[in-house]
Amino acid sequence: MTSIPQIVVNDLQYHYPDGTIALKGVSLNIYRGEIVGIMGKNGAGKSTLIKTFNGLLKPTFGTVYVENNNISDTFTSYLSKKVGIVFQNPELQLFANTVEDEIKFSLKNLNLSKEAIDEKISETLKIFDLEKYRNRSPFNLSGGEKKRLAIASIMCRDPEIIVFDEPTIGQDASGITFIKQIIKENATSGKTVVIVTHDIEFTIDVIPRIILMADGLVVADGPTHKILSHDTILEMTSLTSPQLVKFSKSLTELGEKVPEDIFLVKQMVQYLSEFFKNESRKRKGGKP
Amino acid sequence: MILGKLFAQWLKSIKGMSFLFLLLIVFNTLFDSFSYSISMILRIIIMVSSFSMFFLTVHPDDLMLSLISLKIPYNIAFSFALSFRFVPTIAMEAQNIIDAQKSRGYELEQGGLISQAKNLIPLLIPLIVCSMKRAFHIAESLDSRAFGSTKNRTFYYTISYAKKDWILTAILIAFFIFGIIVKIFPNIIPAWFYFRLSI
Amino acid sequence: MNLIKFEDFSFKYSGQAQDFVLKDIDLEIDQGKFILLSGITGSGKTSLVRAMNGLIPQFYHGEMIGNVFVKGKNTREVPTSLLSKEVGLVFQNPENQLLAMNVEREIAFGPENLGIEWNEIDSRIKECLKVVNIEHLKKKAPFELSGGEQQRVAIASVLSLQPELIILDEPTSLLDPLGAIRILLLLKDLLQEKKVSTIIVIEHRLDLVLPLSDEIILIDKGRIIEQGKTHEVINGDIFLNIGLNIPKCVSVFQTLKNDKLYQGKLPLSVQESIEIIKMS
Repeated sequence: MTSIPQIVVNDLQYHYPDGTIALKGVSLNIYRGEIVGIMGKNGAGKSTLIKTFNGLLKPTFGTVYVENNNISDTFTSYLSKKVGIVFQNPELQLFANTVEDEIKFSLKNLNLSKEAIDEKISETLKIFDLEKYRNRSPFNLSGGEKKRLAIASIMCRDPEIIVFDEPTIGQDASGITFIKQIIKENATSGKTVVIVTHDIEFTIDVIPRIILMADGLVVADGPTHKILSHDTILEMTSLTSPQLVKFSKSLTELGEKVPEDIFLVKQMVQYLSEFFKNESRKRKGGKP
Repeated sequence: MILGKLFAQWLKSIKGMSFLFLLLIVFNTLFDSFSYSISMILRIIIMVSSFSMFFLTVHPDDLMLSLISLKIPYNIAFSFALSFRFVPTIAMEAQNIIDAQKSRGYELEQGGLISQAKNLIPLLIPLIVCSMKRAFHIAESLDSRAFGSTKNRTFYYTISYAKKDWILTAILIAFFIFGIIVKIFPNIIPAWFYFRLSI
Repeated sequence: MNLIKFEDFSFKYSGQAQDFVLKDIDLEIDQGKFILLSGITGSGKTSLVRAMNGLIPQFYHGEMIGNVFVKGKNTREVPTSLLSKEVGLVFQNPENQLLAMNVEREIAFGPENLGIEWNEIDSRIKECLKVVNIEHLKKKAPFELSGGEQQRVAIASVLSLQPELIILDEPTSLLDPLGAIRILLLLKDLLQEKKVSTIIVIEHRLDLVLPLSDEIILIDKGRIIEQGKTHEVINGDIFLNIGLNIPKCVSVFQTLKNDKLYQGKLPLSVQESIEIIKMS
């Protein structure tokens, strides 16, 4: 089942009408149930790439297949049922009188019965902890709540693939924790999650595989902690190492034997616990 | 090179109007003559070209300075220039709003006028909200940069009428007067100048 | 004299049903410091900043109690446009701050508004371009620049008013990590070269900004709940418990501390973490 990729991008080029070439030949595969990060400088082509996934932009050359649909000859109205994109700024999409109507609008073109729509609305409001705001205006929500509503208005459509564009900008710790949880739940239920982000600390925590882009091309594709410790690649893409990747690298340089894949807080705590226990044992043992 | 680029953009705007031209040719030839339709098209091309050439070559900032040199108050000239400055930004924002709504199943339906107008609400409301927010942010930023602090504002850049500008103005005025004279006394144009195409 | 002084200050926006967004604020800000202003979204950071150059109450109206003084000038009386000579404000999105057709004119905008004469403006432009390191971009249009460059222009365009204090409201949140570090280092340089005497920055990426900060002000639900030296604040009880994005190194050592395996100070950076390991 996993052998056939869900998204197949083959030698994709995209030229904007003003002549700018945003993508210069991108090829990649994304499999069902994966969490994939897309990173790189502003202007590297990340946003352009994800906009092809639901057909908002059509390839100038090359092909994009989503679940065997060639997006070049498929309507966005159809693709948007399979691929949901959550854009960075929730204010670009909130318009309805109430939170409930906002969700209802997303369900409009899915040919659902009235009962099914009502059920879906209640279910979604519950998942996103927005029940108490059901009849409130979306404009009176806080920044974090608006973000939740924007995600809800995409997720209620049950897309197979969910794309997040910079989900952590402007979010505090509780907002980020919520987004992490949503992403993990989706992946475990078999959905595919694609995330465009600059946030390296968030990336190292939830995204196992990243694709790095620079200047309209893919420059690296692989396990997150390996790529985010590779200095030349990082420099090329204007990224930096996450703190704990840097930390274990420095520890190794000090001559400590740090296992290669320590990059989470939990792992580092465990490692250092052992380290401090050993040190105090040594000190006790060393005393005459 | 710059000229070439401008020409390409101009060509694009003319191209965009080709459908209108076709209509003009068809209708005018039906109701009048082919030559009339051609002259009509030429008129429109000149009008569109002069506008697009103006906005493709004159930056709002320079426009503002020239308005000021015409003794138009700074505040008015500045807000005029500022509104032009944000046209591309707001156009981009509008595109992002369309993309965001399409991603949740929004379709610009075909239908009656009322249902179509209703259909624009999901686009218009975010656009208005975002533009108002932006206006506040711009105003904040202006206030924080001493905007309006003194009446005697100075100008780092100024534009003034040079000799060549006067010459150009003189030529343009001459043309204008000539046009009026021709309109009043059409006989001063020799007969060979008139040619008519007829179908 | 304090650079900025809040005296028993509270504020509530007019036309909003909400409570006071800032409550009982007594705050003094002195020269020569890099200050981090931190708090979760909606805690009142941006409102506090708006009160520091008179945008509150002059641009944003509402119910205001108490006073704010900027170098002894009452913000109720002196207009924001004149306070701009003391306090420069840089916002999150450069798009809304850059208005002119090229970088040079952008930097000239502030001094022009003050009615400063040509020669002086000219020398200020040259100085500012040099200080933020964008001399090669002076004839470029803002939209041709990268996000980091745009933010540099925004900083330069405020510097040209020669304020003593610069306040930046999330200046790096739209930038990539390397761009963010470069902007924060630039700010540190401005302070060290005495181009400005104090910097206040609101910044979500605590991992980048903590090592640069001399002082932290924590704000929660409209109240200042802590103000002090960086090391003291992060080792206090409040910092870890108000929902901020705690840098990973701090989290690691905090957990070790809770497990009674480590007793020392919490590290601000990877470098300080390594020092701890070396010492033990």
